[in-house]
Amino acid sequence: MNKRSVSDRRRAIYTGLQGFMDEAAVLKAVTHWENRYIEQPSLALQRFVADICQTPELKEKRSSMLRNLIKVMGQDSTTLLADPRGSNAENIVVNPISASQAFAELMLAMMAQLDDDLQHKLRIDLFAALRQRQLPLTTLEALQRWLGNRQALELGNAPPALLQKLLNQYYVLLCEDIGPVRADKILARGVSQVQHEHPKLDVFLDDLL
Amino acid sequence: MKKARITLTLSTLLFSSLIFADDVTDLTGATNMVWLVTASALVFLMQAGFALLESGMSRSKNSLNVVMKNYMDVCIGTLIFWALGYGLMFGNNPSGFMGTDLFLINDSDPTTYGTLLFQTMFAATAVTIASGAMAERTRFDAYLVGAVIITAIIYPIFGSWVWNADGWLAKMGFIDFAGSTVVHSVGAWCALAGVIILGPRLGRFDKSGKPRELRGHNLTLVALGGFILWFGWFGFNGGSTLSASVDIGLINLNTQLAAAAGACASMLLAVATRKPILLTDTVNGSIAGLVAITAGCATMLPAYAILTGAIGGVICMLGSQMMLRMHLDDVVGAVSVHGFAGAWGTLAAGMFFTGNMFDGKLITVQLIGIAACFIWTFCCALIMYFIIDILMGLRAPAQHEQRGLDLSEHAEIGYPEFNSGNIAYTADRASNMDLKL
Repeated sequence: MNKRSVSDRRRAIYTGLQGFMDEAAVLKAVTHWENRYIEQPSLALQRFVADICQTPELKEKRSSMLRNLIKVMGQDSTTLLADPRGSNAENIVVNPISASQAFAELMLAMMAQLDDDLQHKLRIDLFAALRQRQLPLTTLEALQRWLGNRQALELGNAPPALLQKLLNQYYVLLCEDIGPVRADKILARGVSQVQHEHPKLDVFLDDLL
Repeated sequence: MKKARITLTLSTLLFSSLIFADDVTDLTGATNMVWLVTASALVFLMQAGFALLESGMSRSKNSLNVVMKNYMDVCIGTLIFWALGYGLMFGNNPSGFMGTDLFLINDSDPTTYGTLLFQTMFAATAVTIASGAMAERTRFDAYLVGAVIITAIIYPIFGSWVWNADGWLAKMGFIDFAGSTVVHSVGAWCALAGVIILGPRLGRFDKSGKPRELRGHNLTLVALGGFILWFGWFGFNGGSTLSASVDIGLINLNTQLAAAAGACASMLLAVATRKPILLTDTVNGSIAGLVAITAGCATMLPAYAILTGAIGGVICMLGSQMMLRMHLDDVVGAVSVHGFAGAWGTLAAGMFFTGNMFDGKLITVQLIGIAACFIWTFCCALIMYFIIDILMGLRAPAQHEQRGLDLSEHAEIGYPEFNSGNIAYTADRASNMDLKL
């Protein structure tokens, strides 16, 4: 399944859920799949279906929904509905600009609360920690450029789950360097600042936290 | 005629005295049972004390998780101890190492029912001691698996050595009246093993190894928890007579004196070392006094109870400092309160035994019992938590520590209407988050 493109798999999910729920619920479920299951093998579809079938009516349809999704996943892409994210969605996961923007703004808001020396030290520590993680090459390079040269952070295709892990990595470094009490405060103030200065990004913070 | 009247009178007297004797026996049995069941309820209340104390000493984002662990300790402890633990502990014990019957007790006599209830509360107390020490970074499901094994195997097997009449330590003359070692040290050594396997909370120690202060979120709860524990201890020690005997006066007087002495001694130690008199240390000092007197509360005079409690308080304070120097992160000080003070109290029970003070043989037996408890419990718990860690992960992920275990493990927030601004995870935010991990 993972040999297929992200767009094709998203189209299959979108197609397979038709008839089981209304359009809004289907789009919400697609977003959930993007956040949690985009990198998971097809076996994880069972958990995905369990996640989205929370109401009694949907619970009754769980097995048929799963069967349909598995069937659609194996179909030729010409038989699938169009990508709900649009035709240019091949490299896009979930509103990537906003998700990565929210990440970048939050990281900057947190760093701004530290003095220059500590900021510098934490950038180096984060840089070292990222090299130990097996990140997608494009993401790693973008983060390295951002951390090393203070260029704009361009994480267009990084899924929110990955950004969440990166934020947590920074939180861990904060805990080790300045303690968990101050780390909690810095995270809280950072979130509050992003909410205040970029209210449109607030919705994406939920996925990062 | 006169002879017949005398015979009749004597017969009547004899008959009525027999009936009276039966009544007295019934009444004594009923009184004993009322006291045993009341004491059980008092010991049950100690769970609330533990919950308040441990929750108050944790940060607000983890406060519910600690309470949940305490709550489930009682529930799991009750069922497992009924099914397995009681039999292992009090069943027929030919080897001296574990009981072999009395499992899943269903149809039995009233005394057994009462004793099972009382001992169930003790088992729940032993298992819940670890929850505070391992707070703020332990996965809930993994913790519960540990609690099951402690209640099913580790606690009852050691208990059978001491409180089963055929246990090998009991036969040696080991004294542990209400469980300084059997209950409190067992819980504490399990906690120590858990703390070692878990490692410290994120950022608890700085890069030079110096501990950082992570203050509890509500010290009023800590004090209230301390009071409730103290109150419950009158059932814990007084109930260990298993009958409504006149000995309860001395036992509970000793309990009261030792608790007070433990708190005062910890306070005086703080003054002597020019350190602030912390509420947490003072409450822990009183509990250390209670733990210490538990072994010898029935067999020492009040003056020695004061000495035992006071030294227990001091040992608790010094033990906490030692734990920190060893980079062991025990959130509530459970190991020093229940382990170190419990070991001291067990030794004191041998040293201050009324009528046989400082008997070398008795002291040796006490030391053997203390060592046996540590070796059995710590080794078993270390292996247990190690295996749990490998199979399912004992330590919560860093993401969970960031969110707080209330949110990540239970999808709840302890104080949803009171946002201090120090935590990013408000109730509004939590309701929008996808908390399936």
